[in-house]
Amino acid sequence: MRSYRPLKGVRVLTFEAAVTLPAATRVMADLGADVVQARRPGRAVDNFIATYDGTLINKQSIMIDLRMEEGRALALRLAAQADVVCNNFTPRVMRGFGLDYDGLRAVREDLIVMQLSGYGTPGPWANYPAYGPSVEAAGGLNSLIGNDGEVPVRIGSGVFADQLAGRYATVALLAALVHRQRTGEGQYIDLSMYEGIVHIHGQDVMAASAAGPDPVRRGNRDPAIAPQGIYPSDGEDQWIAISVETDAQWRALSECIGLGDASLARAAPRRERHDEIDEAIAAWTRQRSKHDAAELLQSRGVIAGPVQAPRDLAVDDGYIERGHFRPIRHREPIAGASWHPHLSQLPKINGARRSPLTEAHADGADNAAVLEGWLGLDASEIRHLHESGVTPTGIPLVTSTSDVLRRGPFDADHAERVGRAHGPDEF
Amino acid sequence: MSLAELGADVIKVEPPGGDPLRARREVAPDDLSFEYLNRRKRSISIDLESGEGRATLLELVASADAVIEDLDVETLDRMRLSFGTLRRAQPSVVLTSISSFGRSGPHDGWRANDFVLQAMGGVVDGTGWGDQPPQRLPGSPASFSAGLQAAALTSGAVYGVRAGEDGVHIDVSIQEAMSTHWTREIERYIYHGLGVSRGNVEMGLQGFPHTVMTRDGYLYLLALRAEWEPLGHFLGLDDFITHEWSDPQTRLERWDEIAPQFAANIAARSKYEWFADAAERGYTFAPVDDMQEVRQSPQLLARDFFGEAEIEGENVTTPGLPFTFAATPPRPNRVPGVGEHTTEVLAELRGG
Repeated sequence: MRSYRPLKGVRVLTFEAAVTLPAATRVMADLGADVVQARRPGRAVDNFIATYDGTLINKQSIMIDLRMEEGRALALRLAAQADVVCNNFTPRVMRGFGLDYDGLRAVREDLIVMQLSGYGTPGPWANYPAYGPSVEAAGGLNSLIGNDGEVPVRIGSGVFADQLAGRYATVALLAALVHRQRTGEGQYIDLSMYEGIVHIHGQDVMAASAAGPDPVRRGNRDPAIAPQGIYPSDGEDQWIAISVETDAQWRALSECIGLGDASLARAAPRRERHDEIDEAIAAWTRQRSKHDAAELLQSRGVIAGPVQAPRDLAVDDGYIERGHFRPIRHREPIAGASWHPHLSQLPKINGARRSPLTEAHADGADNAAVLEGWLGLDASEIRHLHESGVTPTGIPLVTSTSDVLRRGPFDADHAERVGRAHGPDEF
Repeated sequence: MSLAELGADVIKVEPPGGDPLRARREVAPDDLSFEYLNRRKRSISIDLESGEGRATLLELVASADAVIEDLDVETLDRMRLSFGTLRRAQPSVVLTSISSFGRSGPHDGWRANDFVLQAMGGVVDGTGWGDQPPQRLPGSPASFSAGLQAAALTSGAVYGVRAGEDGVHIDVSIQEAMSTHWTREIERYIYHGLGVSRGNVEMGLQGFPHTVMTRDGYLYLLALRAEWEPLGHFLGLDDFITHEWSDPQTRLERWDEIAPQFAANIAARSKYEWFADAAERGYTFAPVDDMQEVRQSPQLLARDFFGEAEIEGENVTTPGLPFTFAATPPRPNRVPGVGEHTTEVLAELRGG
């Protein structure tokens, strides 16, 4: 079956860096949109982004020097051919180039324009720089992770908020496209990564506003149901998550772990004696692998699952069976391999195989193709733009085979493990 | 909820007893998840176990662009509500199914909730301090993320239908949605066999702790790729900015020597002073705000981010969408009662 491309023919011109907006436009590219990243001369793309995040997959890249008058004029000519123009720099950057909404709308009335930044515009923090972890802290998430009375915990992902804001950006852009399709009207969208974090736990804002007390750090416990926790499993740094929602589930769990105590039949006493129950559960979980224990508990109707590390998710049998990974072929081998499995960013559609992935292009690799395809320029015009430095050739992507952050867990046999689980490539 | 906030006419189909999540407040009075998620919708009560109810549902489907469901497979089978059935009622219907592990795969019959799905999907394993168990994320991030994926894909598919594509069945897995937030970490393992260690991720990268007490609360310190000399100077660590301290690894190993002065300097000022001054220098620090502080954030107030919903006679602050979207006004910011709009919706449907 051909891949699903509902956004076929939609053109997206995106002035993007880091992860958040690239994550959103990647989803649009996977859905068939023609996504062109407009890069500016400067630092090479970070290795993490180019290789691991996958946010440049399925896109083309043009490099434009916006410091030049001719570069800014070229950007406006491209914008006039686009359906969507977006950026994730602090707001003053594009304004300085005359590429803010007013400048862009002047060349195309029904454009959909997105300005994405850490804290959003306007506001006193509008030009404050931010990475995802900054807005996770400011947006109240860290204050709710870990145990009361201890130092707040940060989320253990470099790109949690980035991917989240990217998800919101996709929602906004696709809704704007639907709106334009129905009314012919364009749209200006100003997205705040910070507000994305607040929105994802808006119920806590409401609780803080209502008469109730402030939400507090509860570790892994729940205010109502009990027990709930993350318990040690057999092996080094192996854990299982268990959550008992009903008294019937408690009966099933207590039979498994051999804790026959009739006074714990209801949630209230279980909350009171949570520490004691945790010890009994941990004594049982320590003797089993997290996968075996989860299978056994699930077979008895108890909500449980392994806490999965990257090494588990890389070979997750459900993901492999559902085709959540797709192969990506490298132009040059990386870490000794000509291809690697990459996480799909789309759900499964009509039970079919998920959309194919094309490796990131280097900055400016598609200068000629885009100038010809979008603007109909001929070879001599393209050469002029190149030679005058308006559309320079970019710096090749750094896809290093080593990693400066080699600390923490490391599996020397990872390539065999991954290869065994995924089998041969299927392009 | 996001679609309703964007102005879509979202009709929530509830069984006669109501959505089971409505009962959550009986056991957790402070949990306003149901209220948060169901504002701005209309509610119609339909008994899908009856023939008449099923016929009413198919009438509704015939008038809808999209159907979104998170029921379990047995229930759907019992009600004989497959994609094929819906398609006969509305040939270009978009059906979006949201489930724990997706509609296929080896976890058939497993029970799950957000707590377990975030642990299985990733991120949790890397969250927490090294000497403690992994820590959950607050709220229901895996489910929310899947909900956003569903909202985005549903919109994309509705766009596709108007552009001439067929309707589709979108199969969203909450576990998979959670993993997208850990793409970097999972791919680093696939490429290089590297794992994640809990705790001081930035301590290792930047050579100082990331969460530190100021005069009035915790500050999150992040300054990736910053040059040490100006940064050290900004942090008041003038005794430690010579060349021998410029490597984060050195600062990490000899942190005991720096720690007292570092702690004293950070504690001397408020978290918002640090935040503003850091931003001016291009450093991405942030205050670790609690929910009351979030409600009073000058940035959120300037952006007009909050609204108010009346819940049981009380005005409660509600967050808005994290982006401006002028085109379509959202529907009223209130929570529908079970079946509150049944008569109204059926009248519209039947040409009333």
